[in-house]
Formats: sequence, C-alpha cells, structure tokens
Amino acid sequence: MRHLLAIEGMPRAEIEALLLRAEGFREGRNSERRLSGKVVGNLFFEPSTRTRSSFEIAAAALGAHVLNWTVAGSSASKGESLLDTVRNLAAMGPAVLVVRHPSSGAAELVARAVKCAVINAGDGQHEHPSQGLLDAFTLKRRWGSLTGKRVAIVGDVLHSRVARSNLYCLRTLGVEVVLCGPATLLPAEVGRLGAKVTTELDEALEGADAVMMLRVQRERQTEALFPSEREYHRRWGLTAARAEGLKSGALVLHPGPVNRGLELAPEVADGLQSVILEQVENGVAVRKAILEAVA
Amino acid sequence: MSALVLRGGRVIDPLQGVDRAADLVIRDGRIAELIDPGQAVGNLESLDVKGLWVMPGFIDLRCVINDPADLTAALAGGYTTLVASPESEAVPSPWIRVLRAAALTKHVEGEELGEVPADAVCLSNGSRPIVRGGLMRRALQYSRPLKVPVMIHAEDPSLSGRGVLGEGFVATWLGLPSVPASAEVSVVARDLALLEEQGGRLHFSHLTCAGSLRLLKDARQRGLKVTADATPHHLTMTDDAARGYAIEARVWPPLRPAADVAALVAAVRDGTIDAIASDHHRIDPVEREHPFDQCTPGAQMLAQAFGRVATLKLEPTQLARLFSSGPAAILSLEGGSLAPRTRADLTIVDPAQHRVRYTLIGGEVRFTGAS
Repeated sequence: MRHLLAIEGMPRAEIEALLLRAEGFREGRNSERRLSGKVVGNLFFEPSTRTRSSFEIAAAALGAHVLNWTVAGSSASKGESLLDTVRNLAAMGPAVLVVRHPSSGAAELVARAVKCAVINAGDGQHEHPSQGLLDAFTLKRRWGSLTGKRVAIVGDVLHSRVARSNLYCLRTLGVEVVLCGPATLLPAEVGRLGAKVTTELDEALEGADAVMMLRVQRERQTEALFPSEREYHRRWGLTAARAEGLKSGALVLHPGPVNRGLELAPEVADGLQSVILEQVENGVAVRKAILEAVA
Repeated sequence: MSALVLRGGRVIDPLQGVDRAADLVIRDGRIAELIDPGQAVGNLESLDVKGLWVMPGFIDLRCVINDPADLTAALAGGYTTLVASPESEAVPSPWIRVLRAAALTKHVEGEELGEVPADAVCLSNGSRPIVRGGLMRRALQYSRPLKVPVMIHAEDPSLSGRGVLGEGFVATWLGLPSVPASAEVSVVARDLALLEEQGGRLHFSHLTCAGSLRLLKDARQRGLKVTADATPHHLTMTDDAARGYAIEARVWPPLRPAADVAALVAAVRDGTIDAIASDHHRIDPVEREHPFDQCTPGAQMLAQAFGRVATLKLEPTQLARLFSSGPAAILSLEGGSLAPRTRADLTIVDPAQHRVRYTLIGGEVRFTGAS
C-alpha cells in the first residue's frame, strides 16, 4: 500500500489484511520495531487529541521517531500554500506524513506533491479512513464476521468524514448501513453512496446490530442547522430509553469526543452496550497496521 | 493604408443573413465588399483562408484583465473587443479594444450606487452579488435613462454559503460544501420582478441553472428586456469535473450537475442565451496550491473559449451570434457584423480543428495560429 487516502475503492482483501494485521498487534504478537530509524510526521491543520495521540503512540511503538507539527489556522491565511508547507516538511525526509486538514481532498493533494507515504487522518467532510478501519475492527472483534449485519450511523452526516469512511468500509465487508439524521444534516443524494437513508431515528434503530452515533460538530456549524440541542437530543439522541429498546446485544459506538447529553445520554456512553473505549484502544493497533503497511 | 483580400473562406454574418463561400475585401482597415470566390479585384495582397470560417471579430462581455498575458491570450482566442470587469487593472492594449464595465456599486461592495463614467458600456458588480433587493431596484431605476445594461452575478450568499460546487451527488461524494440551485434562481426571479416593475436593461452573467433559464425564457416571452450569457466552462464541464478535486473545476459560479448543463446547452442552441462570455480570470498559480475549497476560483478561458464551445457542434451562424453579434447587441456596439464600412475586426477559425487561425483587428492580422 503506497498511501492510505480513502476507504472508497479499497478492495475487500486489502481491508481484511489490514484488520488481520491489526489483530496481531492487538494480541501483542507483532512486537518488532518495523519503523526503527524512520521518521513519521504528524501534520495537523486542525485540533485533534485522540487521532494524533493514537498515531503517535502507534508510530513510537513501532520504533519510529515522531515529529508533530500543528498548524493553527490555515496556511492559506498566512500567504503560504499548503503545498509549500508540505514540500518543506517532506524535504526533512520523513517516511510517512499523517495529515489532518479541514478541507476535503487535502491529503490527496499532499500525496501528489511528496515522495513519502501519506496517511489521511481526516480531510474536511470527505474521509477518515483509519477511523473507518478501527470501527470495523472493533465490530469484527465482537462479532467474528460482519457479513449480514446491520449498522445505523446517526447524526451530522453532512459534516462527517467518519460516516463516509465507515459506510464504505462496512459495505465492503458485507454490512447493511442506514444513515439517519435531521434533514438539514443529510447531504443531497447521500443514499447513492450505498446506504438506506431516514430522518426517523426509531426506524434506523429497528433491527440494528450496532449504532454509531456521530459527534455533532458544533465548530463546523456556521449556522443553526437544528432548532436546539434539547430538540436534537429528543429526536436524534440515543437516550437511555432508546438504548433499552435496541436489539439484544446491540453495540453503541462513537468516534469521540462525545457531547454528553447531546447525541448520547451519559448513561448510554458509559453503559454495557458501549464500546467507545474499545474503539480508542483498538485505534492504536489499527494505526500500527496502517503505518507498517505504508512505511 | 493597406488592402487585403481573404480568399477561399466561408463567410458568416448572421446580421446580414450571410453564410456562403465568398471572398472578402478589406480596404483602409474597414470591410469593403464581399465578392464571389476567385473574382478579380486587382493586385491586392491576399490571405488564403481555404476551409476556414470568416466571422465578425469576437467580443467578450466579461473578463478580468490584469496582465499583458491576458491580452495575448485574448488575441489567440480570436477576441477583438473585451469588456474588462471592474476587478480588472489598467493594462495598455495596443490592438484589442478594451472597454470597461463601470462598477455598479461603490468599490463593488454592494452597498451604494457607483458613479457612472460617460464612457461606460455597462454596469457590473463583477462576481459579487447585490444582496439587497432595494439597492438592485434603485440600480435599475437609475440606469434606465442611460440605456446601458446592468450586468448581474445572480447569487444569494445566504444560500451559497461556503459552497464550492453545485449541490448534487458529486459534491456529497467528494465531501465538498455545495451551492443549491436556488442561490442563483431566487435572485434571477427577484431581479426579473424588479425589471418588470422598473424597466431598464438587465443582463445576467454566467447563468448555470435550469431553473434560471426557465424564468428567463418566460420573461422574454412576456417582452421584458433581459439578456444573458453563459461561459465556455459551464457549457462543457459538469460537477463531475471536480472528481479527484481537479483544480480546473474550481470556478465561480460553481459547476453544476449534468441536467443543468444539458439545459444550458439547450438554451444556447435555442437562443435563450444571447452570448458566450469567457469569464476569464487568471489566478496566480500559488493561489491554486491549496485544497479545492481554499483555492481562489477562476478559469483562464480567453484563449480556449472558442475551442471549448466549438465542441458543442453549433451552426456557424449560431457561433457568430454567440461570440460576436450577440455581445455587440447587448452593449449597443458597432461591430458584430461584416457589413461594408464596418471596422475590419475579424475572427477566422478552423472548424475541423476547433481552433482560431487568424485574428484581424482594423484589417491587420494580429494573431496567426498553428494550422
């Protein structure tokens, strides 16, 4: 694998090989320092705690030297182009650049400009492939096989790169996906991406084997896209009552950080159905597998 | 001054109803006469234009000029007259006639009416919207006795938001902020209502949406004085051109789904669209090294406008209307015709190659393209 820019278009065998490799890391079987002597650059144009830390821990565990560059605000506003910034960093010779950027397509743009491998750690409203892989990994560890399962992805689909990466990853692995959210947070013709679409949460939850609650991206919301947080919680929040009504054994996921009491009731986030902390834990193993594959 | 005869071409002039094989005689920088192919005219210098179409010189309704390179591109694109948008800078032009659009509002800020210089051929707010209907109403009122068109970029910024691509599946798929058709259509509807109430002359620049074209057609049928143009890029690219975040798809107004593009092409064929405007805007390459949504939008279109539009396989008289007589009529300019005594501004194209072969201004060949 040269880069990891998107899940869309990845063959099933490639996804499964990554998840298998991640399983080895998760079980502590692959302990060699495969990235020893190499430099992994984390290039974040957007604030992020867990994704950046997760990549950093994964890279360090593989023996890489990790450099963190956090660029506050867009480089465009400083008169330097993204490509200028990236060419300068690439000249320092990293083996891998992990790029997070508020604009869709940014990682692809970077990949075309540099010789090293590029991992997309989230580009605008487009994709967040490592999150898609780690969510699929989390479900696979719980279920063994994903084929024939049904997963509801609920919330701010419009602004969510997590929703897109998860949709592509889960569909490729044989899962039926339902997207649900307020009509103002569902982009035009989103069903053509390969999912059922509904604005009614109870309909989406019907028969779901897992529910993935998306974070309401308050920071991306330039204008009010729903009347109030209270109403959002009432209509699209996973309340304790709704969680109780889920199919027995159904799992609750969230990419974090959780807006408690908004998309997810606190008791559900911390409840037995929640695998939110497993997602975080699995993230490191999956990112090790990704780094190893591209470095 | 010199004289010249163009031999062997097909001469196209929709204003005179001419479309036939003929030779064209130019004297003293003006068109002298059309003669039968091969007819003797004395010992004149001749230019062989066999297999080529001879058309009245191209006139561009809207471009941003800020470098001599833009004028070189215009010549290569067959343009003999340009209307520079208010964003343009003053660039000395040795041959091409550069007219200026006066700023419709002060500093094109859309707040107060701008002053109208005596030589203004049109009033324009560049690519910036007139947000307040009250101001637009006053602009039409004030300009009515001036007999110059008010050129409008139809956009409601509260609907376009941060969008960079027309709303539809492609924008959703690429995760790009999108612009609904209503951002354009609602302003077209508003401005047509104001025109009906106030009179005046209204021109819509770079229309892109099927809904706008329906309103335009209806307004025309009701006798309103409204005209419109389309750009080469909106006629030849759909939103799908943004696949892979391709930077040539970063234009303004944004590219739209195939159904809108098909409606736009149909409107060009049936005459609802009066003119092609290049909307040329050269962007500093460093401004294009950002991700798609952060790049400054723009298309370098002067040199390639004809080549692009020619791919639509329009009739030669349609092409001459769209590139020359249509824009001339909108601006009430002399030109757009090959009638005797008019200035010999000519664009000679190779229909098979979709290329401009010669640009003549005042009877002089100012550009020669590769055969």
